[in-house]
Amino acid sequence: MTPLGWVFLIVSLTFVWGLMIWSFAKVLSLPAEEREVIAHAAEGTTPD
Amino acid sequence: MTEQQQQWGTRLGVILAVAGSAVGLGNFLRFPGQAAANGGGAFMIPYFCALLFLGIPIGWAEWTMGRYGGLKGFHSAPSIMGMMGRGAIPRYLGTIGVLIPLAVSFYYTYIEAWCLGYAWHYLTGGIGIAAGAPIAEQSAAASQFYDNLTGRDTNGVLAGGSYKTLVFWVITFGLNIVLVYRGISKGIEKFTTWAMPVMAVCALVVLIRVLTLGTPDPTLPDQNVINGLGYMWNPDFSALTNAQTWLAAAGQIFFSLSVGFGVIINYASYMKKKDDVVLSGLAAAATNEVFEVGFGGLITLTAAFVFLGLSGTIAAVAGGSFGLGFNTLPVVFAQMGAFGNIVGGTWFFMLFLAAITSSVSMYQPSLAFFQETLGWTRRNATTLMVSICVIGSFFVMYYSRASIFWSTIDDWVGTFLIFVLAMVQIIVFAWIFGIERGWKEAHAGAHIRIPTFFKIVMKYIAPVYLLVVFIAFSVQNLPDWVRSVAAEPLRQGAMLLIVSVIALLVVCTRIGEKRWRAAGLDVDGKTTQLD
Repeated sequence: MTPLGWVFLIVSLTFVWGLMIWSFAKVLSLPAEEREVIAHAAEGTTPD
Repeated sequence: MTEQQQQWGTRLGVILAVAGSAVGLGNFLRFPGQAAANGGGAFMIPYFCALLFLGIPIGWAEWTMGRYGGLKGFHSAPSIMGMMGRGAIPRYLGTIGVLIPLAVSFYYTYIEAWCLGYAWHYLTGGIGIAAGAPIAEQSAAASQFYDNLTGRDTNGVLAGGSYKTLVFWVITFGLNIVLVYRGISKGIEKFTTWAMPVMAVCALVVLIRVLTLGTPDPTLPDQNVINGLGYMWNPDFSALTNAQTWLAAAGQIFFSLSVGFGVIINYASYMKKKDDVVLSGLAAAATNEVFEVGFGGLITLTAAFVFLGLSGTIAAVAGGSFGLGFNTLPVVFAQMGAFGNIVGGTWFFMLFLAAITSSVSMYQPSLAFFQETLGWTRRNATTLMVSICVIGSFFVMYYSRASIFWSTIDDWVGTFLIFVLAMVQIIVFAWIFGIERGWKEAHAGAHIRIPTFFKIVMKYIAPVYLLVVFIAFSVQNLPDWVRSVAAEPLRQGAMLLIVSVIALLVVCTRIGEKRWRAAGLDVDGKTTQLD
């Protein structure tokens, strides 16, 4: 493993893990939302 | 359950479901081979460029289109693209978004059954590889097991091959249908919410075992973990001057993220009006990347290198994804001593989970499509979908010789048409629906803002990038594909099956179009222009 190999490995892992952890931290910090009801084509009804 | 009740239960649920759809066998088997063969660590430069300028932006467009369509009462690619694309051409091109997941499921569930079969055999005693035998004999034993289980030797695995193949397929297919029939929240979401963490734990167990292998054979000191990582990650910058490297990177990102597959647009259609699509799309893509780069990039080739050396690993990569996963890795597991069967069982169970979280996503689009075009109940639509899948899967399993039949479907539907659908989607989103409206729609309820620069990416860079990749891909592959179809009756049979499914989907779309118009729905997106 060359030094550049280590650089590419570490930078790539840091990027993908960092992006995932950051994204999920944002998602999990959001408040819960309420469900809502909408009309659907399967029932042949007109949507709002 | 009616479609009116279909909704994701939680934000996390939809993210994990989309991520589960994206994480599949390619993350663990295809990615490392592509990287090693195209510049090693240097491959990550075009790879991350494709992620940022192709995969994530087109993914955002697909999430946005899906949620927008769902709020108007539509859940399938034809209806949503017809509405957002304002007419019949996008609507009928949208049938590709139903065809892809449906036709790919014909063979994907079959491959998924192999993973279950391998996991079962490993956890009940192994697959018959004698660890003390010469490597060539072990490889032959691994190949023999693979050929028997998959029916590669001859057609008719159902009649003359291992009955276990059929048993594993019935279990796999049945499980898929039960999950899909239970619905979005109670079936798919509940399953992926536990399957994804379990898959991560399995991957972590195998990763830790691989990274602690050290130098298993002191007489071969070069065959160690560090050199194994070096084989995969040492950069070869000369590869960056080769167009093939950029094509391979874009192709890998594209197929890995499941954009242009018809699944995200369907899954997102069950989101609520204020649900975020920007952060969710990013989180799902990031999860896929962790499984691909963080696990796939460290496990597969490192393990192969440690036990098989440089030449053995090069040969394994040349053997393709399935050769690497089902022939080479069993030989590697055989060298792990007492833990080999446990590691092998964990590995294949993980692949099974990766596959099933993808396959459940392949049934939902066609189920929603049949419900909304034919106006059928979920039960009747499921019956129709299952019937089509059983017929398609029967042909795939019966005509199993050398995987010719299903690889033809994979080439034309699972590869070629994905490019086409992604191209149509990004054009509909950025050019017909309009980038300004699309941008506004994407940010409704968004918890992060997309950098403004991505407007240019979505309108110009991504379509051009995709077009260039598509043309290069077509020039490279289509002539051979056409010749091989002309020369091989099995390939012609597969094409006939594809055309038959297309015809059915077009007829259903036509029926649906009449129903929707009669019901007063905004089929061509005329009133939605006022949004």
